[in-house]
Amino acid sequence: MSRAPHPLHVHGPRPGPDLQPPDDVLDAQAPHTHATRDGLDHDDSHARLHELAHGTPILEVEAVTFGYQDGAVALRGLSLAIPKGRRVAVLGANGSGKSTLFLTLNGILRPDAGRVLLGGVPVRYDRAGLNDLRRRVGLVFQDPDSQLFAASVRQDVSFGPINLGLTGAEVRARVEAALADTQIEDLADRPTHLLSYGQKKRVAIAGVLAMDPEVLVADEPTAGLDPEMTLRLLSLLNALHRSGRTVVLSTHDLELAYAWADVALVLRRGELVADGTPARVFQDEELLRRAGLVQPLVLQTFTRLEAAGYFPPGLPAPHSPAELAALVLGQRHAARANDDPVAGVSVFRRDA
Amino acid sequence: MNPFPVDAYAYANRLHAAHPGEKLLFAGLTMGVALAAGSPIVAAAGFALACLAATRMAGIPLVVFLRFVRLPLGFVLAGALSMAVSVVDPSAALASLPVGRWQVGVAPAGLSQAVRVFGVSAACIAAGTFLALTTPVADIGAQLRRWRVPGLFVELLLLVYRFVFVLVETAQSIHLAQEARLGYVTRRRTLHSVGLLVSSLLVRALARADALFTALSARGYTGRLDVLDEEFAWSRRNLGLVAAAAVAQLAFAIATRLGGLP
Repeated sequence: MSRAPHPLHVHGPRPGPDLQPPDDVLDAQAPHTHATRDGLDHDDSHARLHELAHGTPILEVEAVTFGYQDGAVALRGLSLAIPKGRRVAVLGANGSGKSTLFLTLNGILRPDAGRVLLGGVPVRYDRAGLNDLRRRVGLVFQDPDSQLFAASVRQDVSFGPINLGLTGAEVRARVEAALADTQIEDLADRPTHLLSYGQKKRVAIAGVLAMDPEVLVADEPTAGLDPEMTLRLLSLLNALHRSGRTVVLSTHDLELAYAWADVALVLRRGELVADGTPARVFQDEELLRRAGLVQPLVLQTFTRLEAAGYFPPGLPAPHSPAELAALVLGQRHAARANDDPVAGVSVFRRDA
Repeated sequence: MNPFPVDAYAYANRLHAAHPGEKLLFAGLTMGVALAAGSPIVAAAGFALACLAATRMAGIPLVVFLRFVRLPLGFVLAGALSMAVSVVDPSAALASLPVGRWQVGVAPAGLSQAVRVFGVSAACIAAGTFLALTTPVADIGAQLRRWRVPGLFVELLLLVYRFVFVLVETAQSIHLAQEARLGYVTRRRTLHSVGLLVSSLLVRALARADALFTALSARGYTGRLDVLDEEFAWSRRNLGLVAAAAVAQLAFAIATRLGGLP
């Protein structure tokens, strides 16, 4: 019996048909989370914030320039680092270079200039180098129909691990584990084309997960999903993060990025214009506007209340409607997001 | 939405767990005997057997089976009719009508050829429909691979199958978008819109092929679309039935040949 490749903890009672978020999302409000959040509040440690945003990089992009054949330059001397084991949100307007960046991270696109480093080592673009990169950095595409090619779900998920050259038994174990982690065991024998959009998204993730990557890069994984499916998808990404993986996603959902990510990277016309904790990145309204983004509603509200002198200066910005409400009510230590009907995006948040 | 409900039966019939090899063998042998014998009587027997296998063994309602057989059979019928009717010598024709300088009608040779072609086609269609309604395409592909059918052929078969649905969905959504902007308001506009639809389908198909290649590369594609195939157990009973059906058809074919029947 081979080792289960992804020791995740998402197998629990499955969420029912009602709109409750999955159990493991609710786990986010476990007591230790509180302690961590309090710690963050009190020591105001810039060192910790810095560490969060700038941990050991697993992927580095150094002065990368990439232009498409039609002359469009998508990346202009872009440099950035993806810290290991973090949840990273890549933000930017349409056409800012997010998708091109992701294709570069997986070696599909080769930079015209500059280089990509994986674990500090420059990526080699020969077959062995690319195989290694694609094994360690999994890429989930935005449109699952462009990724799913096989006639049945199980077959599609098995494609990646077979390409890794694993034996039949190992492939089988990987596939079953990936199906279980994405909670789609019941879809295993279904024909791919009969799945709903949300199901296809899960299968697409399972197909990448089965390759057991260290870094999971997902291009707009929540685009087109309803709120419940979005929650389930985030809980899945959180489980992957807990299992030690680095999770990178691009999104236009700024509320989500703000509440979910440890690190936010903002691209504008192929260049990095901001990089840091979401709290820091989202503070600069001017910068956001230039990048075609806006502040999350929670932060907008907080900023306006703060500017009006409603709060004492220097308060850490709230991450969720619940935290904001707690601040407003002057009882932030009693914030119990899971008892709060307006908890909203707070359930996204999960401390490392 | 599933534009081709064939799949619904393929995944939910009493034979869905049966070894795909057994079903392929049955369909293949039925087609083979019908084609080799070239006799409408043998073909009728093959048709009946495929029909029986689908309804009695797989539990597919007869109405459903006949509905799926009907459309391709219609095409074959049209072809057979044109084969039966030709320019004939009125003295040898069963029936004929003057058309200008010629006599157009039905000659015995043409008629028997038409009946033979129609019969053999009907048997093959019934056998193919049996297979389509009882066996998921993924399993057919897997079995063909095990029988060492060239990988390129099997991969193409499976890719075509997968992307037919995407193509149909795309065509439907383009059609809807055109319809919503009065693209089909007159016959003239209809022709124009259909032309646009077809050309944009081609462009999108090419773009999709590109996207697929990119996505496959991201998962380590190097020219082979290998996937994990289901394992099935051969059933002695089913193999026996397949053999019995084949032997019976073969015996029937020989008997009709010896008896001088058509």
